[in-house]
Amino acid sequence: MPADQAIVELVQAGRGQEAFERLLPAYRRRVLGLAYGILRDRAAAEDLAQEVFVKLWQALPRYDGRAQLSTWIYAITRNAAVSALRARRRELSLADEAVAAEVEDVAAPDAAAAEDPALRRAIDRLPEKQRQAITLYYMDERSVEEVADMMGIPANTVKTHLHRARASLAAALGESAKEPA
Amino acid sequence: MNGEGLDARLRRHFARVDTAPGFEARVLARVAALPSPKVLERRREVERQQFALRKRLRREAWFNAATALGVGAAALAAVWRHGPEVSDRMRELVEHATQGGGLGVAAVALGGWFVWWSWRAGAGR
Repeated sequence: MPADQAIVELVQAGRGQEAFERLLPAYRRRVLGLAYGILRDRAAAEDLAQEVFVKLWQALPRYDGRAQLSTWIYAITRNAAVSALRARRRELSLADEAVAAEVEDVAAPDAAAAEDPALRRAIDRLPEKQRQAITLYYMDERSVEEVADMMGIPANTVKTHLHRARASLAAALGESAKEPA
Repeated sequence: MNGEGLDARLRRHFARVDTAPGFEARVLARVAALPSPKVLERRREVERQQFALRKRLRREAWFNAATALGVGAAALAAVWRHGPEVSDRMRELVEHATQGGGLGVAAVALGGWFVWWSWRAGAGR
């Protein structure tokens, strides 16, 4: 990605502040999407995204360019989101996942859920990886390859997750699961 | 169902997921309040060095303790094993020294030392 190249060059030139000011708008929705796919709660995802950007700001001088910038950012986001999810599950300490999901729905309603609650509920019932794949794929019209990069899994596995998720959602909502072109 | 299709419905659903307005400004305000990454990096580097130094000193202390224990154990084993032989040798040495003019040499040395000590004491006055 050309924007990434410019950011990396700024980091390498020791212009961390400028690099960060470019990185923030470029990755805002991607970091949010990844966090949202894991946490299923927009407010929590936004808080986490803020924490991730603070971490990125602190870690930017250590970025050595060996991994792609996007891969590095997604890895940091995934780790932070998974840790946050574990902490939240410990706090909730509810054995029943369905009850936990209901509590989350009541505690954190968001615009997307308010508009289409049936779809939101159906997405929430998907297995974790399928839910992440669907969220990342549809949030910014991303390619399967980019979703694979964000999730840190092969593209074919993403295709499988998307296919199964669409089938489950279609069955739950009474829609036809037509694959996008 | 509503005719728009699952694909379009999903796109519409996720298009609404975004950060609240002012997200970027809030992040920038937060990082502006933090020490610069270079300062943090230097601090971390110092902490890393101190940690490494503590680790090295701890390792050396263990090594020194192990060496002292080893040497001590070896010394004890040597005394245990060769103690009678060493005391026999010492006894022989003392016997040898007391025979054949050994005592005479000691008496001359003692006398010499006394003369030298008296001379020093006299010169110091």
